[in-house]
Amino acid sequence: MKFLKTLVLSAMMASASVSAMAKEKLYVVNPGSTGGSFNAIMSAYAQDLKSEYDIEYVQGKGCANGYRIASNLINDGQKVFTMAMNSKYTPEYRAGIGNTASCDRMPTADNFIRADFHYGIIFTAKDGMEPEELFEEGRTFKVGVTAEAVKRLLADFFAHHNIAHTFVSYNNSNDVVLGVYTGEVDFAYTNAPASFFKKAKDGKGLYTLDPNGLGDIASLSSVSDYPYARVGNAYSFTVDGMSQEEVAQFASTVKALHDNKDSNITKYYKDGRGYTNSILDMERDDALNLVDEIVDGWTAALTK
Amino acid sequence: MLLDLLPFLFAGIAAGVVAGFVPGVGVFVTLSLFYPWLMGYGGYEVFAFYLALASTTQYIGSITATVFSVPGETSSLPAVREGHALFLQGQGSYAISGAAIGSFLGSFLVLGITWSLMPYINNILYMYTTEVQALVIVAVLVLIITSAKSVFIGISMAVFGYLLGLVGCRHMDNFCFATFQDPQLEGGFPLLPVLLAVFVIPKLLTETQEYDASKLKQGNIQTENFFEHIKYFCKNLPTLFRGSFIGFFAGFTPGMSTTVSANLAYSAEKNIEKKRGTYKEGNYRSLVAAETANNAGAFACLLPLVIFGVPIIPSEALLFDLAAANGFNFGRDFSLEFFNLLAVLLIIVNTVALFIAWPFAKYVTYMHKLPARLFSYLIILLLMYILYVTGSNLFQVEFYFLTFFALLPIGLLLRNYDTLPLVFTFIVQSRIDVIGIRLFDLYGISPWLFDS
Repeated sequence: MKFLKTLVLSAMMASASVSAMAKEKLYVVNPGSTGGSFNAIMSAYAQDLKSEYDIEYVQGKGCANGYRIASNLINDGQKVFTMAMNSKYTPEYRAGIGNTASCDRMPTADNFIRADFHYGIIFTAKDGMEPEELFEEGRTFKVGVTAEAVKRLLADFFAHHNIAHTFVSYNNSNDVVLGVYTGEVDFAYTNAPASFFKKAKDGKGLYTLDPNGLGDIASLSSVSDYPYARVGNAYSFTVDGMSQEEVAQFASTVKALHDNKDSNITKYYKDGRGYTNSILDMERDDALNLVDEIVDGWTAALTK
Repeated sequence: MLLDLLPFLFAGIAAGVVAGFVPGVGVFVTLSLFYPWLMGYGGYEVFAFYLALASTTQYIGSITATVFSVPGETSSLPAVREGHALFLQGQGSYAISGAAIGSFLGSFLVLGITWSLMPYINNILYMYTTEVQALVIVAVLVLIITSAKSVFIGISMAVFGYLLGLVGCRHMDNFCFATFQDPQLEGGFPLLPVLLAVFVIPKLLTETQEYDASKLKQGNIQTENFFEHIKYFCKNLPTLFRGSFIGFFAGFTPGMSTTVSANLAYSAEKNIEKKRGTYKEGNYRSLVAAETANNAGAFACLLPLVIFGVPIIPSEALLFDLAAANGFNFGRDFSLEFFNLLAVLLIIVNTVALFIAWPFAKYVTYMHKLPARLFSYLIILLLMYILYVTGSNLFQVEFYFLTFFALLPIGLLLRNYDTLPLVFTFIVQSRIDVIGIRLFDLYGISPWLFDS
């Protein structure tokens, strides 16, 4: 009998302590495809946040569906962590390109956690053209691109400088890098320079849109008077369904993950040259303003 | 890293043993059954599980083919013919040991071939132009369509599979097809319900065979004197080399990898035996060549997935989906370290599978007690539950079941045909589009469908 009492008491204590330690549920929503960089980033966060939250990882398989799921969850009072490619979807939406209306999602002061800022890069193969050849007259270039918005921006840039070209479309930044290295295009532009830097030993950076240049890669704005030669990219990360205190606490948890060299998210970014992580290098309000500026820049370029 | 993967490796081996023994349950069904569980783990863990499952199934499948003359997969047809004939002649244990040792040593040989090609991997990768990719896809489609019972039905299935894959929005040019402004349809039809409806369930309903207990009385299995079996095997080493070589290169045939490997190596060896005048049904060398090639092909067909991120058989498509859902991208995340890991995992799996297959062979006699038909119904029920769990995890239960039930009648209608043309074009549709659009950009020769 005594044994039974002890057993029941232990079970009650155990269940009480388990419920005391129960983690809050956090939905991590990947609004990108299952094979893309969004998924790699969000799944790294999901792994890292497991120790703090009861994580449910949700595949949106596309921004429209991802944000639909996120909105449903937020309306149900759930906590939702997600990201958005503001420099592409929102300007595309504003410029009326394609069917991306439901991908228009901007961060707000209430839900903003951090942003990644980076600049696109123009690159070629190791034995490819030299940077100055881009502006030589009488040449027609085959140019690799990955998205409709990029195609519009580059078309405007080429028209500005009278550069003859034909576009060759690729599915993603990994494909466009392979396209350059197989020699089927003369050079390519990618908004995700990490894919280029990963295989940089076989290639050569021609220009970066970063106004400060990047290592030995010159900035495009240093050789061109094209007004949008320095337009950057922003990925913003947001959390909803939390109070302001909780948002601040969540932001400090995310910052700690980026400070930890062993975290999955730090490992993801370790090869990422040319990225500015706002949570490490900027004030929150400045980062939020910069997202707005970048989106305005793209929108102006695309609706010109 | 390796230690962390061991539990998944052994879980995969255990699942492979069951998948090899239970009729109608192949690699795809088993992977589907483990889908929700594997969704919670990283890409490496999922890959370790798959590798162990796919390899072990080859070893165990050849035992059931030998004893009961029931081919688990079409790649086991040579084992059914030669292995079962050997079994009936009282040589069943030699048939089983020959297949197992051949598979084991063959895996080391193909690993060696791949290893020697590794320094040139970037050169190989940079030869993979749009034109080469287009040629590969067209060649594969032609091969798959012409191997269907009727070319007309093969083409119809391929077109239907393509249109099914086309539903959704294309990232590269924002072209949307048949989405009706529905956000769920914008992401396209999910892989699992489509493959269950048109590929797995119809197969389970029509192809499951009961094991015939009467066949057991006609042969026997002795699993003693393992070294005697090795000695006997060593007398046939040229067969091992031929089987590995043919199996490895034939394994790159998309959609039918191990089937082509095993049957091609089998035919080649049988011809040699016939020319020598030593062939009669129950030929040890022909069996060893086929089974060695089977395992070599299973490894080779992994390489396009691992290196280029191109799945060439349905179970690989499911693996690709699972790994990607966990943030791992085959192709993009390929490195020499990953290949080294693959090699170590493969050695462990093959060693364990060999030593499981050998003593396990004598327990195969209990298998006729399995009510195979009933078992397949149970598996269908389980798969429905898996569909529910996977759909719930993604907040798309209704969408998953709607997709499944909308396509199931088509799957049942086609149950007497091999639906591979449909499955393959559904899986590679986005790649066909990407290549088509790019060819249009490069040469202006794309069909209207690609032109947005």
